[in-house]
Amino acid sequence: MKSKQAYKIIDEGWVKKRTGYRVRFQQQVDAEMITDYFPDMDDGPWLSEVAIWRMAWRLAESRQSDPPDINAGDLINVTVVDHEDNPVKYYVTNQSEVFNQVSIKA
Amino acid sequence: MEGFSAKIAQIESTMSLYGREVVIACAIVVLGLILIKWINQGLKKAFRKLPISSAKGATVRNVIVVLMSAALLSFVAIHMGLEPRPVVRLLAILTLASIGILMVFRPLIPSLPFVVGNTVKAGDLLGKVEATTVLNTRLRTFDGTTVFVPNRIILNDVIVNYHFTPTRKIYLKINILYDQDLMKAKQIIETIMVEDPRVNPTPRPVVHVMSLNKGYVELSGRGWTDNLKRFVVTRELLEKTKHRFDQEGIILALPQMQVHYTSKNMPQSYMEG
Repeated sequence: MKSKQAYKIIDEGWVKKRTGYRVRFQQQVDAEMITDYFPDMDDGPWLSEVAIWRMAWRLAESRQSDPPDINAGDLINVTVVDHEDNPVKYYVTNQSEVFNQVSIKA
Repeated sequence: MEGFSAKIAQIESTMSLYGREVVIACAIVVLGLILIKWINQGLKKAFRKLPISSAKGATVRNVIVVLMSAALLSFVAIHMGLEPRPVVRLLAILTLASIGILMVFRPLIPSLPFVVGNTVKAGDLLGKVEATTVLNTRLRTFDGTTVFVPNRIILNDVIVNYHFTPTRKIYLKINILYDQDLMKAKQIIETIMVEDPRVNPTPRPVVHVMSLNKGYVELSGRGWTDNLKRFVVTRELLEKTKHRFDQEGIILALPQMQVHYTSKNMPQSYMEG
């Protein structure tokens, strides 16, 4: 096997290089729960995992209501996703982390 | 004395003949220069809103100012009664001569090793170049201080221009105790560098054992990133490494030194105590 092939296998199978991060959250708008992202999909994602988790925490801490109540505008189920919308483990705990977690009835 | 009187008389006769035109010409020059200055300031404000670099904007403005000044001088010369054709010819000759002299002597003219907008390190100063003049360079440091550095000091000093090369090496220096899992530590550091979007995929990040004789295992993770992002990337990778080591139970080592005293080399003060 040539080194080029070996590195191709490593790149495809080992640690995936992410191309950016976004905060994914849910919000009540006109009595309807919508899923949105920060930064907006029209803008580029953030490249810093540390900064995006800090932003997610700040957004979650800005919640006005106490659980389980949800005020219009409150951001719930706040987490960080990668460029493929897959949840990213919180680097501090290496566990999945969702701030302001609220189960939404379908 | 007679010569002096004759000169005064000559000036008087000249002024009586052309005085009105000279005054009007001076007024046109003054008003024209004020107008050019206003236009220059207006262009400066307009260029800030356009997606072009400040250096390119300054060059375009300078060219426009020179052309407007030349047009003003031509207008005044023609107003004074000179023939339009020789005036245009003279300006064309002067312009071509200036360009020729610049092209020939440009390599010999000492130039600053940066342009406006570059992040540079000059001596102990690290900051962004905001403006350059013939005499000094205006530098804004990252704590918000504006420093005017004489160009003669810059030309004689070592300058680091962080815009010259787009990428730069990062070093993650991490020390662990001898009894810690070395391979796991290396794997964690490498993984953190590989998965970060800001660390370049090539050259591939690597982790080296730098030394074993300092009372701990000295590790160094190395990768490449954008020159301007290096500071933040290095700090964030160190933070992530600390957390990942905590999760995996790898203990970081502090710089330490073991001192062994025997009765032969024990200081006298200890012996007495």
